[in-house]
Amino acid sequence: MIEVEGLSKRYGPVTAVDDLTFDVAPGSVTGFLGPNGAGKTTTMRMILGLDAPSAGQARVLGSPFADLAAPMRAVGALLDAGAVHPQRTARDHLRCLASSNRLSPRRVDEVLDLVGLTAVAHRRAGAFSLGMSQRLGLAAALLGDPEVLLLDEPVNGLDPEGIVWIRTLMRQLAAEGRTVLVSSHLMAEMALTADRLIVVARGRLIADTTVEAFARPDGVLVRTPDARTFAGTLVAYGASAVRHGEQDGEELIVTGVTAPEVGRLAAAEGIVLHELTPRRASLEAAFMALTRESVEFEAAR
Amino acid sequence: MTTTLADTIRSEWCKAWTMRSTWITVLGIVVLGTLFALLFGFARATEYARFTIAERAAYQPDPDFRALLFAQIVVGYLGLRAFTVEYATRTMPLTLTTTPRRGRVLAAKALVCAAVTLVTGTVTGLAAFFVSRAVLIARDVPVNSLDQPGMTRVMAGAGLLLALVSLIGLAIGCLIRSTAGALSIVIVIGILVPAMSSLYPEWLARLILSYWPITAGLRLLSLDADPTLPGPWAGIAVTCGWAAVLLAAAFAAFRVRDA
Repeated sequence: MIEVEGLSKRYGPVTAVDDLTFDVAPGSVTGFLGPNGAGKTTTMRMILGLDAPSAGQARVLGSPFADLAAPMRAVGALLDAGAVHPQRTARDHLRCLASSNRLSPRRVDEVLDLVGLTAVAHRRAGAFSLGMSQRLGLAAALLGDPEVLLLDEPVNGLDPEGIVWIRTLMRQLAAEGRTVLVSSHLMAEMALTADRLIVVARGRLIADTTVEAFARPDGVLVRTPDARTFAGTLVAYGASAVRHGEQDGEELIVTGVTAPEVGRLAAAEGIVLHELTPRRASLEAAFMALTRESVEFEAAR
Repeated sequence: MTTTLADTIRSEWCKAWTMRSTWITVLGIVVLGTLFALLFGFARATEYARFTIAERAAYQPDPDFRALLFAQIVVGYLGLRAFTVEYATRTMPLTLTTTPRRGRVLAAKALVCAAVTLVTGTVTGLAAFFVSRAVLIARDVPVNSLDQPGMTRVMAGAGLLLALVSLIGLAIGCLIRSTAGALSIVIVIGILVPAMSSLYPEWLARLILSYWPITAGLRLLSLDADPTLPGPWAGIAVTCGWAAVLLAAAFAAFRVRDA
């Protein structure tokens, strides 16, 4: 459980995070979405007590992060995969972290195994590829078997296989009842991974919703040989229908009614339908539309 | 289960010794201290050989710890690295998300650093003392008797002085955050200011000898009883004061600063 209340961060005249309020519930993957520079990382850093908020507060499992008795058992964070001393081996890196929270050395080997780094555990972290560093960062986050996970752009640098792996892992962690907050600027990735979405742009909250609701229906596609007639019927019914398509008038984009209503209407009028498809705006498009509004609003002020 | 200072110390200890550079730095302190003791020993012997009979008669032997002026820069570097390496490798956020109590992180780093330099410093001090002494004896230069009062203090005191120097370095590293910047300041404080004391007016030179962190601390390793300078314990107390003030400043900055 993460609670963010009126969180703001100002650097002189620049407002990086502007009065953010949201909760992240356990048991699901929450995507923290926004374009680059939207304030996602700053928000995560404030939740973790790394940066002091200019206003507002953040609580993790009911208390400020700094007050947690055993931080690694409560929260695992992956902020910067490159944050490893290059001379230190992967195992030593994790061993040092584990000892700070009295976690057993056996646990170090367990997480190395979990992220698939056992074979290179004795290698210096400086020689790791971006993907291996990302896995090591994830191993550090999982070390304390934490109830809450904060992952900042964890798929960066991973190969397709790694992306599927981390997606499965996050879903599994959430299914175990943990709180998973994962930031990304990639909408398509979030569509596949997250249950809920918190969307920010320019440091402001734009949407706090489910993935389902975010990609809301955007009309119904109808293909019929009687397009002209049926368009008239639909308009008379109160919907709007636009003819388009290559075979001039075979396709209709219908808005203002649901797909079942269109189907019923066609049946009642004896119209032959070749296709009847509810259209969903892609998450990408919905996101672009939302953030564009915010940017325009910003410019207009 | 609640994490404690002991856990943080264990973690900092682990971090220190899993860097090859720590081993090299510690070795460097001992080697540098011994090597310069050898050079200063020969220099003093050569100087003594040119003395007139009258000068030889007036010669007061005093243990020579000028070698520590060089070793202490590396000791200061060992201290400042405890912080600057974490900033350079961007691991500070990781340290503070595993141990969010910043005062505890500073305390653990300071304790590990002080423990390492107390041992390294004592070894270096003893090595420098006996190497210098062996050179002087070999070249027929009079030396202090080992059972002279205060001799134990002089032989064992270098560890304490160098531990304090490392804490001053650590505080500067915490405040400045970059290795190059912090090291420049350590060199200015440790060598530049005291080495140029012959250029200063008398009153300023005396002030620096009495109250500058390294020169005041070196009084602990001296057997002369110059009444115009602080005594051995008063001198090392001044160095303690400097370390305490700088550590307090470091804590104040570290506690409120964005990591």
